[in-house]
Amino acid sequence: MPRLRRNDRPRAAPATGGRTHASGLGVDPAYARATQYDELFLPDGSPREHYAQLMATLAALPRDEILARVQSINTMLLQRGVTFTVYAEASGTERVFPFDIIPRILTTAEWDRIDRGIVQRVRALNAFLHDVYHDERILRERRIPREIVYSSKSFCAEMIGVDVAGDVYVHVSGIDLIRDENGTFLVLEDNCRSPSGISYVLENRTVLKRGFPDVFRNYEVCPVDDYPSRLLRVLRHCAPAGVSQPNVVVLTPGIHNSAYFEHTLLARRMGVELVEGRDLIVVDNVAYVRTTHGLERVDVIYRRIDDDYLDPLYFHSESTLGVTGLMNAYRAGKVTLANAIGTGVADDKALYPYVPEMIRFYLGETPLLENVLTFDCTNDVQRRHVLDNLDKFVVKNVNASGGYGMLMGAFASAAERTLFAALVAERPRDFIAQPTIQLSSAPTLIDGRLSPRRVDLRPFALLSDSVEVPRAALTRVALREDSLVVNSSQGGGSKDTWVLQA
Amino acid sequence: MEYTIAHTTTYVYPEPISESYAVVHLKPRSDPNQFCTRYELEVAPRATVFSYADRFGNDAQHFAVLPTHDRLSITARSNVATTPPEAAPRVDEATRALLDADGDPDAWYAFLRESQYVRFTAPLDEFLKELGPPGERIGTWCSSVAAHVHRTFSYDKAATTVRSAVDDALATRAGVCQDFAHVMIAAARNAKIPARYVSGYIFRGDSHVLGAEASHAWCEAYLPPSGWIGFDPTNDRLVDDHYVKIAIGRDYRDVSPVRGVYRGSADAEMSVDVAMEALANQQ
Repeated sequence: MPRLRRNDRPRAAPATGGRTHASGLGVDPAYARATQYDELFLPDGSPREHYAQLMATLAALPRDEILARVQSINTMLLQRGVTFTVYAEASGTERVFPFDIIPRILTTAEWDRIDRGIVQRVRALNAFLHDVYHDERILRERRIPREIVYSSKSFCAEMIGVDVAGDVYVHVSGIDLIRDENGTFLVLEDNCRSPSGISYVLENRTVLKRGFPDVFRNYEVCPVDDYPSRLLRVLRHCAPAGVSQPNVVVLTPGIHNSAYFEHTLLARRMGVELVEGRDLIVVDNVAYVRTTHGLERVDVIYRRIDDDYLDPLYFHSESTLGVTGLMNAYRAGKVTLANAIGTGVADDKALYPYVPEMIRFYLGETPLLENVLTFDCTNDVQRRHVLDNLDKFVVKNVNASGGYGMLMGAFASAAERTLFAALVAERPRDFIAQPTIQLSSAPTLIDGRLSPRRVDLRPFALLSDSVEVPRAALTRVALREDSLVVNSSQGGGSKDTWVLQA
Repeated sequence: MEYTIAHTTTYVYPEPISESYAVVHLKPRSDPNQFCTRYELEVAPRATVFSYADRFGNDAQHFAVLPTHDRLSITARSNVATTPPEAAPRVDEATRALLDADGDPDAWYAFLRESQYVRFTAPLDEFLKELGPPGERIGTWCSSVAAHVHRTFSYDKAATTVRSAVDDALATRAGVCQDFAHVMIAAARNAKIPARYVSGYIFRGDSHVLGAEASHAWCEAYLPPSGWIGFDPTNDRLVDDHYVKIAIGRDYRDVSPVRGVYRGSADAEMSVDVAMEALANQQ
């Protein structure tokens, strides 16, 4: 429940046509047809209690005023360089990440459930990673088919038997949640490599506070800006044994990476150096930054470079993004990499159906957050069912992310479905299928009115001795009408996400 | 037998290069059939050498030469004592039933799958057709694979490159020991018989054997009741105390004698020299 100040109860805005009218902002008639769970509106059109004050505040603002402030926020975002890169497009690939001003609000009770579920899930994922690179208990006991692990493109055989500081593999993860028709949170996918998006969380809060300070009135919203200091604490904590004043750096592939803005922001906010591979050198198994006044030892590398490009001596030999010899220093325990090498096997979409089993196996607990029902295309019976009902499924390439390489069966053309059916039949290990889920919607300002647009939620988890889930989550929103894909590459934007204080 | 081996790899660069990093698999393993009594790695220009045990239990070394240089030489000197197995490998007793009943399939799972150089491709299928199905007597079948490779492939250093997967060798029916080992491994794995790559040396003595002028490679198949049995398809013979094993892996990629990266654009000229002698006081 939100904490509302006494004697300042929100006044319900006058209802129009069964839907709350927020100032001059009309409500899209599409809401009348909506069957999905809506974050803000109840089925009768009134706002949920924790949104009532927000609606009251918006109702007091003239429409033109709101639109003018939206304009100034967009200018702010452009000036601040909050952009992302669309790889599939030939021209104009650098874009401002669209921001919607209507915040997404989570109550303390909602967040507590999420928090506990994510703590549990990340503990299990980390235990799984240690296990597959050491004792293989879960494989030997036949709880997960060995072939799925060994055939994963992200399974890093070079990591077998390698010990990492504090046994921490997934220092940073992002667990994508969606909400079904009943409002129940489900895990859509895990991101255990280098999940991005936290910079949008930080920027969204900054610009919303500047553009619409009044909407925060009467809400006690958990701050998000302590994320960089929490991240730094976790990175320092996982330094190699015996290092008391660890030197931390952020390693970026460079300015052409879609998340470069985030790399610069995190380095600046943590007060550490941002480096590229060529700035580092490994001498006698120790990593150093090359500086104008000589070599400076590096103890912890928050790396935003994929495994394959980290060290040309062991991985892609043509790569110039990485640091030669880094794997040797890492194996010798002289430097910590966050995240560890080889964590991608834990978020391989073909392993995703087994995460609940990991939770039971390693923790002896019942999963608090459930998975979305998922069909394994390597199983003949399941694959046949998927291929016979392709119009009802979302088919995902296990090696792709960011909304690339997927088929939304219900929206695809017959030709696209035929193409995917052939791909699935040819390479079943590369695909999973999930029934089309009606993601929840949240009202989004489109053409001057509130329209239902689908959202997900990416909380980030930090792991050192234990898992913490900063109250800084990213809500992504599918800006296209009826779209169920929230990825920025597919026309997605984001919202400021409020977790209310208890 | 006891051998002393000097294995020198030299790179000469037409222009100076810098920041050479290398990983080497040159130290002979110690196991029940051989014991490495001495090992030294000498690098010129001088470099600090570090060691680690890789995931297959091989002892790998790595080093870096950071200042500019136009020549890099790596010499591994080792003494190894080999003993013939107490009993001859029971190749013909190996059956599918014994393999299926083996207690620890997890231990050899990685040696059943495709790997970088070992691919299940159409040319391999064609090759397998010539052999016929393995049937129950999988050890006998492995012997026939080694014999078939020996009979139908010609030893030709120009036919393949160090980066060749099995298809190049299968297409030309030619190659070197590395290719023959990969072909046999591919055939065995495709027939669901665990098979791994072994790098090492073969002692020439007075007889003429192929592969003796440099490092050698062969295939080991997992065949209960004996366990891992070494087949040398290059010479169509079982591995005995004339062989010295350096390292085992899924294929060449895991155990390449020298793998390196350097800064600079020059193409290196590489030469390898292996001198292997049986110590006189033996036999």
